[in-house]
Amino acid sequence: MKTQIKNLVKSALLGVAVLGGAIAMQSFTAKQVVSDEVEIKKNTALAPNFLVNKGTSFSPRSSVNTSTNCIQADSKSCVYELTEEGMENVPDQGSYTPSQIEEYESNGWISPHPQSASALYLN
Amino acid sequence: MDKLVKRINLNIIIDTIRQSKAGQWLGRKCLWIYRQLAKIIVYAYAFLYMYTGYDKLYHLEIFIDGNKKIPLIGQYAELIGRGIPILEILLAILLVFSFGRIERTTLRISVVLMGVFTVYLATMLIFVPDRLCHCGGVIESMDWTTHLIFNLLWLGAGIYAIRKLSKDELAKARLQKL
Repeated sequence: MKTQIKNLVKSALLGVAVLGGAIAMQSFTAKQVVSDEVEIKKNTALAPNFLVNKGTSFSPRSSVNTSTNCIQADSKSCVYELTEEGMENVPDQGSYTPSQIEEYESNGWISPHPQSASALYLN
Repeated sequence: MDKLVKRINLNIIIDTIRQSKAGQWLGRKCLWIYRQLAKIIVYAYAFLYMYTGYDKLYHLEIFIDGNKKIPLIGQYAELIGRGIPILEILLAILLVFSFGRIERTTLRISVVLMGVFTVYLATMLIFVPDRLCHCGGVIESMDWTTHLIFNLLWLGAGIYAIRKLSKDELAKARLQKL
């Protein structure tokens, strides 16, 4: 009986540790993303820093991986970065049309990511 | 002859390691890990579901918005957006704080959910060019093929754990009968 209670308490403590660890890890990664964003830009209309090429439209992203996701060739750049000016002017939308992207690029609000070629973003 | 000498030398080295205290300790630990592997997988599932579920709840608006863009299931975005993170957290809690039959049932549901996620990933990978994944936390930064392999490994581990736990339970029942 004593051993059973001991085992029960042990597994309960382990359970709490596992679940607590998961929450702590999530909080840590979420905080890291937020602090990275704050470092890059402070007064922005759009929260994510990048606009990625999805073919018919462009989607905002907080982080990008150009080496694994920019492999399928396309006429437009795979990832665009927001410039300082763009951070204040690009409106916060779910997606952007290619003509909007052209307009933002000519305004100097966005620029092609230095490590991205002309390709579709696959994620 | 050379090969034979090399083999004998290797056996001597292995025997020496085996007989040393450190070797015996390592052997015991490996055996313990092997025996507890099913339990370790259960806790790992709980960790994964708590991590991704909490992350989805934390970014609920983004998760629901993302679901709206997925073909076929977009109309149920709100329901899926709230239901999946709650289900994941519930499964994580049940996996950790339950025993016996409830634990095995929860693990089965968890593995089925992982299977659903894997089917979704595979479908997206094969049929949809404009792919979307709001899988939670660092998992989102994986590319699609890596993500699919990651899910398949979890699925395999889950199936192994279910079989191992069921076998252990059967053996226990047999022992009790004796």
